Amino acid sequence: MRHRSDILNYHLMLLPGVILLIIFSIVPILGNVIAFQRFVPGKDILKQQWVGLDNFIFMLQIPDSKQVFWNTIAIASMKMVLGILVPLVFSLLLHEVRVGWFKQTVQSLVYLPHFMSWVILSGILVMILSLDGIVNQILILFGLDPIMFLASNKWFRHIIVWSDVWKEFGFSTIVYLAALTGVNPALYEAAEMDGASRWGKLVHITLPGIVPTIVLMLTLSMGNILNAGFEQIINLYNPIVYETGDVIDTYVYRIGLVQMQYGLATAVGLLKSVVALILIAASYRLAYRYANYRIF
Amino acid sequence: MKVKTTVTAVILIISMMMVLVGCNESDTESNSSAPQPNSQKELGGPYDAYDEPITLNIAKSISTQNTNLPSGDTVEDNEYYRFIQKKLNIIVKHEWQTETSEAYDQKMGLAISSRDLPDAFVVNEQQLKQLVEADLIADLTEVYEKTASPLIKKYYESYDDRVLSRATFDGKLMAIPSTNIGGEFNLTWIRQDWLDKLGLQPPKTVDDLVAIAEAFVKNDPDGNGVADTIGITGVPDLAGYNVTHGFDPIFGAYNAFKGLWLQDESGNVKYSSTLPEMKTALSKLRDMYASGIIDKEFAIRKDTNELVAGNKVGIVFGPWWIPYAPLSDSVKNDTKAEWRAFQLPLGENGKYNVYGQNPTGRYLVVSKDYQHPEAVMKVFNVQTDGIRKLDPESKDLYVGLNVNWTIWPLSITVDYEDVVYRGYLQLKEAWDKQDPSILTDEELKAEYENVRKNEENPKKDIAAWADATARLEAPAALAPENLNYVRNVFFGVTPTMEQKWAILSKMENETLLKIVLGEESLDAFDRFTSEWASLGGDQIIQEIEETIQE
Amino acid sequence: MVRSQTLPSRMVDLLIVLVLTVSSLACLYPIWYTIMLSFSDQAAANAGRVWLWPVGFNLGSYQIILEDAQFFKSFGISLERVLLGGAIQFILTVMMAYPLSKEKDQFPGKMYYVWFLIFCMLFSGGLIPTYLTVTNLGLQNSIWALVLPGAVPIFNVILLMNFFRNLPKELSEAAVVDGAGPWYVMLRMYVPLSLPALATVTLFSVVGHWNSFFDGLIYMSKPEYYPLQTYIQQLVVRTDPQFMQNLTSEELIQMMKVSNKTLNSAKLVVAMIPLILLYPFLQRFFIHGLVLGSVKE
Repeated sequence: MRHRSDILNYHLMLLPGVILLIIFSIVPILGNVIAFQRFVPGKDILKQQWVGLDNFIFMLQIPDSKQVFWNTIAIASMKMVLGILVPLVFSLLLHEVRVGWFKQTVQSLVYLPHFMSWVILSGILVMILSLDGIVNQILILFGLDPIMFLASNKWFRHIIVWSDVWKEFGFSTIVYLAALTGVNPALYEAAEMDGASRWGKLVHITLPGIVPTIVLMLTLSMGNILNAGFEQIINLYNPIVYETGDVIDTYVYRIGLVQMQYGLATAVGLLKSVVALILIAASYRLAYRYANYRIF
Repeated sequence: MKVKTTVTAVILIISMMMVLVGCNESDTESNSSAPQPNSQKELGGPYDAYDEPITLNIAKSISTQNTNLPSGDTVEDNEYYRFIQKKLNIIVKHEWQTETSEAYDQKMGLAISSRDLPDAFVVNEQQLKQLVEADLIADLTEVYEKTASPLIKKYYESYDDRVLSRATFDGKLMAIPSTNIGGEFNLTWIRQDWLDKLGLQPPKTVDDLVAIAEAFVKNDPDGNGVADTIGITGVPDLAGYNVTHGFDPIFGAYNAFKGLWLQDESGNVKYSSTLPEMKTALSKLRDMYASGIIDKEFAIRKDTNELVAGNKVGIVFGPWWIPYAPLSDSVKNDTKAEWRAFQLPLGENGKYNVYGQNPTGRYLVVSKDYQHPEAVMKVFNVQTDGIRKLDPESKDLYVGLNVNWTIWPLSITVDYEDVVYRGYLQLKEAWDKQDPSILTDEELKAEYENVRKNEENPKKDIAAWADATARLEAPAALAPENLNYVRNVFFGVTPTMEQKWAILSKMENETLLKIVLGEESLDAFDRFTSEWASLGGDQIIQEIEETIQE
Repeated sequence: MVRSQTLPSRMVDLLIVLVLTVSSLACLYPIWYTIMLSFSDQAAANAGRVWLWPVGFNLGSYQIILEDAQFFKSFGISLERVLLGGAIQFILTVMMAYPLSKEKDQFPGKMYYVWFLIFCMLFSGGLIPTYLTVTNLGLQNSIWALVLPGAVPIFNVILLMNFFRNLPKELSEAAVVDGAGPWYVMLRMYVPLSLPALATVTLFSVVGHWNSFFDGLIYMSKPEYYPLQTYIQQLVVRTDPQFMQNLTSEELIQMMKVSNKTLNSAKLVVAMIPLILLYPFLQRFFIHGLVLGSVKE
């Protein structure tokens, strides 16, 4: 009896949220039919011209599609991996700090770049990376030739990835710091008495303690496998680096400048979502099968 | 069991929502298939008032900042709006408004998608086509013919048919277009004080320009002992109408142009970026870049104006109005700066080769459901007279308060194509005679005042300096006698362009830029032209030629 | 806890401090630079002369932002949405995270909900369908258009759910034995013990609402209804030729005092100030070892 009513309560707790999600998420999701139309704003949704898979085929058929898709995946994957590693390492370093005011100050400072828009940040980045900017001045000091970073296909992706990591790591650190507070201090004391080294404590207590959080963040970040960062790239790229920096979203954006691209943009969005879902589901499956661990 | 009921509940709720949404959709649907108001009804003359007051709901982009309106007046309730009510018995209201035009475009896109439109509103070309295809706006042919004021008709005529035809679909005028005035092509602005210091003359040919740029780079014109000055600035897209720092004057000297559809004598259409003249121009730019007289970082700079403001460059390509920005910053930071505009370098034909602008881009449309489309035209008539200070009843509204013309309801303007040069001629005549009384236009009078102010105390008042330089100095370089005007013959989008333009323009921008930077050889140009043609360019040209025949 | 003071350990400490300090400064500099820009004279800013200190100190940009009464009205609207929206999000986050943190045997059907949430998180109808839904419900021009569509912050729910899962099972088991129902366990036991996680999701919530500007734009028809970010975003100095050619010299002087560079910087500073103050305030909730002592081992 108690068991039954517990479950009823669980459903009850979820009900308001589910209703809101149905209204504001599911119903709009039905609008994805636009992906199969040549959508002309102004005409009724059901009266639009149906083009089946044409929008998808278009995306795959453009001469540059391989280049554009590959750029997107390459950049997004790098961001994904570093986007987990850097905040993780940083939060572990911060965790070692005992001086309260220092820890708090650092935390408060590093989360600020998250709030700056790429419009402003790109201006600053261009300044730093210019031929007479700080980075090149250091290079010259070491006797190297200055490099035009933002015009170089060798460097562009790295700039995009690292500057994004720099912008977001402080914010992601917050999650790991919260997780770190959950590690039982008694374990540390016991290890201390057993003569464990700092490194040992880290590897055998701290890390295992926050593994669930790490795995969760990694899994969720897979949802972004095709999001290379539109706002950032559109503010930093130029025709020279199209080769390595032109991604799906920037390409679709340029199409939109000339013609209506609602159908195409929706198709692309749908594609991204499907790929993301597949990846997350696959990760869940793998974690369960091989580590007997349920991520959710 | 639990799962089943949950799922059923979910499905029920979803279907309910769909019905709700669907109901709303069909409601708006039935509204727009209501019959057109009786077209036999009297439209009235251009300024005829209505017996009963009528409302006109518009959407508008207008900044509520610094309107200079007296306290109590707002952007929706002010002397101009009240005057229109008084004169025509039309009450103009804002259904919605935004502060910027970007925000406006976004909201307008959504309004069109949801088919929830005001009575009259301004749209861009893409949206105009959508509205026509979705059949949501009114045919204004008769409205224009019968109720447009003579002045407005004259304005449009100064463009021949180039403006009205853009709003005409299947022989019907579906919008009232805004006009983009001409004369805003890039001139070559040079620091006269640097020229004097180095004993140089203005450039007649491109080689002259190269020599000047070289001197600016090597001979320390700003006299600070450091080789920190740049010869010529640029932009990644290389050129563009009204784009400050575009290389257009150099392209023009070789009779080359980027991105234009040109028609030759036999009526064939060609894409200017693929012509041999372009190759010659690129070759020259490439040499210039390699020799270091073009800003090494021009392709990646975020803010090229910084160089101008910082007085690091002595040659700037830009239209007549750049004294307002960024040249004003340059002068503010260094009062010795003397900027002069030149119609140089000249092409082989001895003329300054320039091209015209897109003569329109914003369109005022009227919702099909609105009962009084001619009211919109009448408001536009009254508004235009008010702005040009031609109506004695309205010319003193807000006099002396510096209220911007955009406070009038409708966000489009029309003017003569050569209004800048016209104004300049009148201003010059008055200044030469030292007699401001011959000027009838209020704006010209204010400009005269600024010229005088600047003459008395040069550059003390930067705004006056900017006005004086932009209105009395620069337009001399717009003198038509030395100009060779080339016209783009097509501004729209063809079916193949919808498919292929993104990839074609990507190829164009990438290849041309890489050639200039030296990352690709000149031969890449030939590869580009043939690929461009086969990937869709030839087809597009064919489609354009067909459209023009009509 | 005694920390060993061996030399290698101290060197590691030093290294850590170094890395943290450098990172902090690297994060601080762009903000500092932006603040300096916002106080600078426009011509100097445009010439790139600003590095560490304001050049030509003036408050022109701030004047433009703060002069208008609308600034304060919008500030109020943003405050309203943060409080109302934040509260709704908080309640829903907790209420949804708790049942989902139960195991499958305790809550059959849980996985359907979880995948439902993931689905909603990944899939979106895009701008037009969402806009149509909200407007068809008649929510435009009301605070509800800003608060309801994002009322379920799925990422936060999953985060909190994960945190709940890692609390010791003994907690709820003991309470159940004592006769407590799920609501009691959730409110009186899980919530007080999850302060760091709750602080985290609250922070994300507040930041999300405070920074959001696009929904304010599309669902509000007049500036009077704009939340702060929507309003500030649109304060732009117009320098396009169509506009400029009709300006009088007084207007030009006005325009020349500030440029978009300094104005954008000021916009950013104003928008960020509450957030800068918020995190330090929430840091007090990041308490170590909250769970310690609540479970007898």
